[in-house]
Parts: sequence; C-alpha cells; structure tokens
Amino acid sequence: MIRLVEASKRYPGGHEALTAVSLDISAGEFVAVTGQTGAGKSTLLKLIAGLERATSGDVLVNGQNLKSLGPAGLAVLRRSLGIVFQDHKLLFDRSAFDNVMLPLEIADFPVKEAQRRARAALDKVGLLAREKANPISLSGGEQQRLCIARAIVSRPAILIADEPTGNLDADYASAIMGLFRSFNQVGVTVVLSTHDLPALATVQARRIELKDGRVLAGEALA
Amino acid sequence: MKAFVTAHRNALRRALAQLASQPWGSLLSLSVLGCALAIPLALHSTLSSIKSATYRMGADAEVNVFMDPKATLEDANALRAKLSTLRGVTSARLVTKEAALETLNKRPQLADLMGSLDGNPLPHAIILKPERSEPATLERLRAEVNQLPGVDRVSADFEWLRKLRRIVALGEAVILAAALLLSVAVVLVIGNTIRLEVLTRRDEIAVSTLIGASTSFVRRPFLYFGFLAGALSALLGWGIAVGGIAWANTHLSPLATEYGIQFSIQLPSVFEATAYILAIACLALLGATFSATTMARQR
Repeated sequence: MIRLVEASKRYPGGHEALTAVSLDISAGEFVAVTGQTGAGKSTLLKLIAGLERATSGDVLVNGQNLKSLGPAGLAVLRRSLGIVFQDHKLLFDRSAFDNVMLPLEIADFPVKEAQRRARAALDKVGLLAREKANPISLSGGEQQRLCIARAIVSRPAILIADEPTGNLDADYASAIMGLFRSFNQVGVTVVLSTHDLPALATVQARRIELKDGRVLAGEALA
Repeated sequence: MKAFVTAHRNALRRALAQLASQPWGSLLSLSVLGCALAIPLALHSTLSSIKSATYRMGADAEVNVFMDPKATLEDANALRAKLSTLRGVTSARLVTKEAALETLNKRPQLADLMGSLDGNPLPHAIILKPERSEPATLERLRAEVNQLPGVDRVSADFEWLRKLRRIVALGEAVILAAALLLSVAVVLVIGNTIRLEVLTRRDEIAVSTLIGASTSFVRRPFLYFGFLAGALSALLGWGIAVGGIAWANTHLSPLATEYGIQFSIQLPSVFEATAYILAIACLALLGATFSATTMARQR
C-alpha cells in the first residue's frame, strides 16, 4: 500500500531530513514512526501524504509513484488520505462542525450527505455535543479529536497522523491512541509519528524508528 | 455531470455565503460601484432619447421654395408638378400668394402691418416634404431646386439640426470613452476585492490545499463571487439610473411641453438592461479570474 525506495529529502539550505529510507507498509497495518525530535518523522509522513516531494528515490502510495504526479494528482491523492496535523490546522473562524465539513466540501459531496457524515464523525470522536463550538473554545485534547474527526470524515483507507498525542496528558493520549486503534480495527491503515512511547504501549503497532533521517529498526510491539 | 453540477452548486453557495458574511460591507462596496455604473447608463438613455427626438424632428423637416413674385399661378402649378417628380421628394404642396396673405391677415398682431400694404407682396410658395432628413440630403435638394427657373429663394432651416446631431455624436463618443474607462475600473475594482478576499481567507485556502483541494476548487467560489458582485453592482446601477431618469422626467417633460415639444428620457429596455447587467458581470468575472489565478500561482 505504501512503499518508500531509497527516498531522501534535502530541504533548501542543505539540511537532509531523510536519507535513503526504504520501507513497506501493507494495507490494514498500524505503524508508528518513532524517534527523537528532528529524526525525520514529520518529513517521512509529509512524503507519504504528498505534502513534500522526495529529493531522490521513490514514494509509492496505492501503487502510484508520487514523483509522476502533478499538483492536481497530488490533490486527488491527499483527498484519499486522512491527515492529522501536528498543529491541528483548524479554522478558528468556523464552528467545529464546519471544520469537519471542509474535506467533504472539497470532495464536492452533496450537502445533506456531507452533513450526515460530519455529524457521524463528530459522534465517533465524542464531540457531537460541541458541534457549534468554535475550535478556539475547545481544549487541546478536544482540538486533537476534532482534527481526527476531520481526517476520518471522508472515510479514508489510510490515516496519517503527525504527533497526535503531543502536549496531551497520559489519559487523553491513551484515549487518542484508542481511537486510532478502533479505526485500524475496521481496516484503516494507520501511520502515525510519535515520541510518546507510553501512549504507544497501549496499542499494538509496528514500530519504525528513525535516527538522523535513517531507519534504525523495524519491530512489532506487542 | 452530477459531480460537475454539485461542484458548481457548492461553489455558488460558498460565494453567496462570502457575500452574506459581511452584508453591510458588501452592500456599501457594491453601491459605490453601482453609482459609478449608473452614470454611463443614464447618459446613454438621455442621449438615445435626444437622438430619437432629433430624428423625429428631422422627419418633420420641410424645404420651402419661394417663387419669383412675378410668377403666375400657372407657373406655380407647373413648378409644383415638376418638384413633386424630383428624386428624394415625398410631396410638394402649393401655397398660393392669396392663401398666404389670408393666413397672415388672420393674425391680429400683424393687423397694422397688413393694413399698410398696397397690394399682396407675397410670392407663391411650394412646401416640399423630403424623403430623408439628413442635412447633406437637404442641402443637395436645396441646391438643385435653387437652380430651377422661376425659383427666387429656397429655405431649409436644417443648420440647427446638423449642429444638434454633431453634439449628439460628440456625446456618444464621450459616453463610449466613459464606458471603456468604467469597464477597466470594474475589472480592477473586482480584481482588488477578490485579492483582499483571498488574503482574508488565506488560512482556509492553505488548510484546504493541505487536505486535497484542487486549484479549481479554491478558485471557483472567488469567480462566482466576482460574477455575482458584478451583476449586483450593475443591478444597483440600473436601479439608480432608472430612479434618476424618472426623477429627471418629472421636471423635463413639463419644461419640454412649454416649448411645444413632447420629450422625456426613455428608460432602458429589458434587452438593454439585461445586456448591461450581463456585460458588467462578465467584466467582473474577468477581473476575478485574473486576480484569483494570480493569487493561486503565488501560493
């Protein structure tokens, strides 16, 4: 489902965030990318989501080499993914409900069907009662759940989450991991980055550890 | 096809929401543009009405042929018959010297003058009704008739008509220039409005792009916004122009009647109004397309 072949990423200025990373992620897997700050976790997820292009090597998602995709093709790819951003990227001039509606508007869903799906997604993350709230009035954990609701609302086959438990207390982090586990159990491929090992210990996931932009080890956590 | 319709319906909905999100701000901006757009429309209607009135007046134009005072009634009848066969003449009516004197005698203000006359100093006259009323045609007819034997003088008072038509032509040129300038203004004003809208919504655009929005998805609501803003401005402009014309007519018509003229400024027809609104909306769409495309490229 996801394959990286000798993928490297060098940012303007010369910093190489990833160096010749090769890995395979199968459909239905729960994969956690771990490592220290600056190890290249976010860059790896951005390459998979088509938010950044590899400087060299190949990144394949659903059999498509992202190198061959133009801006329109990358937009189509991103619509097929659920992305949870590290800094949430919520719109504070819209209600929680409207934030969740956004991916469905982009996918040109008929309004009634979109509204039904948005409420179902909010219900799934426990925020239906706060659908009219402005995201700024939500707690950090609620904002994270809102971001997850927006990511799952279009029912993606792949869910990518960058540090979804960052800045959350242990209970909240565990609850968020539980949400990802529940999506994975219904067949969604989950790829997340984290350095929160205690929270990761609450779920079963294959761990890919990065250090200085290279894969150190790949192991399954029980 | 269904997806296409849904995409455009959603874009239209978002554009309407954009307009409705700041109703007073939108209304003020559109009103400013509407006021500016009302001016050429009102001027066009005024000038069209003047033009139409001058052609009506032109249609009533006559050429008066005064015969030599010594010419007899037979001479006059012969000349009338000849003039009626001339090319470009619709009719030729003879006014005998006796009939002319009788008409003058009926005017009480001329009684003293008429009483002091020994005989009838008036000549026979023939009134020609020309087929066409263009000053050049009338001038040719006058020159042609003037050379006929027995003709003393030909009078065709069309100089004022020529001047009026020149003024109307100048007015048309001024309106065309104003309309062209306003067209450019519409493109620039709407383009700038869209640029500001894009800046206001940059976070939304950035997030939308990150989660898979295409360039056309981002651009489309702004294009609808531009088209709607243009159409609504033009509609307001039309309303202001119609109101202004109706108000002006309440003063103009009685004044014209004082001078024995039936005149009022005609309101733009349904076709003219529709074409005007569509043209402005298309210009606004052009401005919006230019601005949204430029901003999308800069992202």
